[in-house]
Amino acid sequence: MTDNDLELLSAYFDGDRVDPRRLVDVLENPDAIDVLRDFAKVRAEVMVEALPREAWVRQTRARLDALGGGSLWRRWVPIPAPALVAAAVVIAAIGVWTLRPSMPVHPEDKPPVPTRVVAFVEGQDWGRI
Amino acid sequence: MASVAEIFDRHHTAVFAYLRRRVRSVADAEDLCQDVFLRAHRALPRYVSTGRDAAWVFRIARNVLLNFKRGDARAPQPVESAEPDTMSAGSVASSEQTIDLGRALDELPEQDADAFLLREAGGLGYDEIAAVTGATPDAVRNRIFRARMALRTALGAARRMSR
Repeated sequence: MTDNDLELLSAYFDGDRVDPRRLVDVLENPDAIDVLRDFAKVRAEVMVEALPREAWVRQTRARLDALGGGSLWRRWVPIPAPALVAAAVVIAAIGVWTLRPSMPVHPEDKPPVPTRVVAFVEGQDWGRI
Repeated sequence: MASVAEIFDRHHTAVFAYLRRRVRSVADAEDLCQDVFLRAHRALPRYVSTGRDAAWVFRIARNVLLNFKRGDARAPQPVESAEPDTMSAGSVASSEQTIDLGRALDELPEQDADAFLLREAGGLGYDEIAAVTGATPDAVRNRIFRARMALRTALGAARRMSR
């Protein structure tokens, strides 16, 4: 069995996508089953005595619960908090601008002061003035 | 709405198994594993989900482990007992043969052992391991393959010894 065959079996054992035709060819070799069995034995050995104690799990879980908060709400809102605040400020500014009362923006704006007074005289030909 | 406690529920078994195989004692694995989830709790407000919670948690676990190993390397190493530690990651007995898994893993290149344990203990896929380690998925596949073959050889040696 070549290194390529073994590599294919390793990938197959990990659930990786492999060429099914090549896999069929490799599995025709009787040694392939031994190889897969050994891979499974190694995997089983890795997990022996590698599980946490129940008491530790309870203790750690309680500690994390006691910390509280830590909500994952932002996992579903993938926008950083400063960006959200900036957006809220912009929206508020647009709202204020849109709903502002229709009055002079500048309080110093006043009617112009008259520089002359034109008296109305009945019968006057205003076009000749 | 999920919380760090829920993340703990989903991932603590895999994270513990990964750490357990990377350190000498159960106590160290427990301390490190707890540290992982406390750090996750602190990092949660900055975490933006990409649908790969496991990769995120294992990235934290790997950093915690690296920090621990840096400190551990500076600390004086205890003299190993002549008596085998029944809770040690080193010796694992099965009904058919014994493979000194801890020693076999120690003899692997660090990157190979790490990728292998992220796969076998952590249950991560090649893409997730690539995201955690910064390697390409192809490199991850090769590392796992090399580690697996080396451990298979160790298994074969153990089998021959038991005959």
